[in-house]
Amino acid sequence: MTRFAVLIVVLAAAMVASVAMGELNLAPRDVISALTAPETAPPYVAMIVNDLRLPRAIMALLVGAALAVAGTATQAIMRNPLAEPGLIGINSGAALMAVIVIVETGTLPDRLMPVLSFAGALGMSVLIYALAWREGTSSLRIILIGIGLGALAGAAATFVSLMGDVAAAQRAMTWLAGSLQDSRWPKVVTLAAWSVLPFAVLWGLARELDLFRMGDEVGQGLGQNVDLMRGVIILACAALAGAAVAATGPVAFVGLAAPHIARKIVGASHRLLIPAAALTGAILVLLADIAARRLLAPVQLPVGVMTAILGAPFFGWLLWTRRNE
Amino acid sequence: MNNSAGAILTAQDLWAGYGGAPVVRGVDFAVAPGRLTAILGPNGCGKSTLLRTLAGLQKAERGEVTLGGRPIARMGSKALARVVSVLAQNSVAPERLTVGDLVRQGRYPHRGLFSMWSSSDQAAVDEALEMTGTAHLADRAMETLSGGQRQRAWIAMTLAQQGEILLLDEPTTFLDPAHQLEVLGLIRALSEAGKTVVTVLHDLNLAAEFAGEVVLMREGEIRARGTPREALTEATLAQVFGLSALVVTNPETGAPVCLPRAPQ
Ligand SMILES: Nc1ncnc2c1ncn2[C@@H]1O[C@H](COP(=O)(O)OP(=O)(O)OP(=O)(O)O)[C@@H](O)[C@H]1O
Ligand SMILES: [Mg+2]
Repeated sequence: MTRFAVLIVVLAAAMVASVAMGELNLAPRDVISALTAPETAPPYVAMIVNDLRLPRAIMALLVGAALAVAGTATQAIMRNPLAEPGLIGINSGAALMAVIVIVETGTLPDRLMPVLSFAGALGMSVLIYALAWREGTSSLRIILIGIGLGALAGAAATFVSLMGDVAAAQRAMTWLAGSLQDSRWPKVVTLAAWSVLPFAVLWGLARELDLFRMGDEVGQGLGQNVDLMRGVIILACAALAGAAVAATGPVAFVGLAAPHIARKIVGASHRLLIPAAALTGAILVLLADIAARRLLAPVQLPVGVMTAILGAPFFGWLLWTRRNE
Repeated sequence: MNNSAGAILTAQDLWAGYGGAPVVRGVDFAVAPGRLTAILGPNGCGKSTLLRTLAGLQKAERGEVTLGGRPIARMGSKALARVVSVLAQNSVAPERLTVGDLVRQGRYPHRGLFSMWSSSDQAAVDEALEMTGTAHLADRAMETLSGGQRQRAWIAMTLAQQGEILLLDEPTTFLDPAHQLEVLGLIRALSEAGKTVVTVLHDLNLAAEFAGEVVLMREGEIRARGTPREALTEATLAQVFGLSALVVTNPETGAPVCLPRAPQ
């Protein structure tokens, strides 16, 4: 439990730091008073904190947690430590829909964007699962079909974005980079609302996830309904990560790295791993966003660029430590 | 929980395979409660496939497997797993999994989707660790164990399942002679304690020594069955394994001993 306490303290510190830092640096004390008792803080501080930076920090927290939990479950059911939610089509499906919305701004209203990209993520996952079905599913078939369809949808997204005008293509590029720039309260509330159920489902199925690690054969032998559970878990992962991607665009590597870090901290049992991964993912995205805002200030990098920069060496390290397997 | 006491696992005219030519071809099989049955046969003759089909891990292409008269295809997978435990050939545990965690997985079919770990779950796990002599290894990671210890841990997992019928696929492969005897001794003790055990073995003499019934397979068919004395003869060994062997009697136990001759 002390491990969770440490994670929570680090998360709280990252939250405060994220809210305090910006074009105008605030003292952590002012931040805390603006958060706990807004009427006592100077009005401009309360405004910056509560209207601008807090929604962004909470958005970072939610996106990180959602991607991390989806990544944890994906790694478990694929029995592949290099798996991440993108593998089940979330990014490519969401990206394709988002780009269509951006290019077709004339006909499709902007506020449909999260709904449609969420639908894209979910639809792509269902399609991958259905195509991988052959008297049951196997993780290898899902991975191969996921890679194939992902590349196809990526190409389609590029094609569609070339059909639009330059401004639309520009906006599509920004979205595809994964950005917290546009974090407003309504979007935060939508993401939170969409995340609750799939998160609860995945945490509730912790025991099934534990069993998936042992292989389909062992699971079946113990009476697990492997295909049904895999389907439910993939759907919950797609909903969770799809909601995150719909809100900010794809944020790379969090879904891959957070589960590994969390596993080092609390071990492999999913009852502990799922909440630990959520906290870890939230911390990672918060820190990445702070770095993205500060590194080339006043230029603000998209957070997805930052996680990719941080994630590439992590990926290399992961491959290196596993080179003998 | 004991409504299936003495349940008999049977197969009638069972055909199974992997889409191509059937690998199990018209097998009739019945295990009597409390019996220790060994399945023997050359590599690739369909022993594992038969065991997997009996366990419901694989669909029968023709014929059916029944448990206590009910077709297993129509039983819930957890209900089946509460009666029939299966240990696959060459099971590999995921990294860093401890023996205790492995054995606890055996309780899966007894637990509801959200039910808590109960005292009967704990008792079953403790008993399984105790019977297999792995209690002192409970906190060790599987990959740090010797082959024999690992095998006993897997058997402990199937015991925690508390099924009455154990289907074991080559539980003694990779073990040295002493560990083979140890694992088979454990299996015999389980069968004497009332469990029904079907195990695939490759060692003719160990099968002759430990099994109450021997089944010889070749090319997906059962070619001989009976007590070790009845089934392990020079004629059946020649027919099933293409082996020229001298079969003598162990003066201490009365079990047949097969002494293969090197091909000329
Ligand atoms: N998953 C599979 N897909 C296709 N064919 C398979 C599969 N598993 C086994 N076979 C084939 O089915 C036949 C029987 O295999 P099985 O594993 O039942 O043999 P076995 O008697 O257990 O052999 P061994 O003693 O080597 O374990 C073999 O020809 C094998 O190549
Ligand atoms: Mg075999």
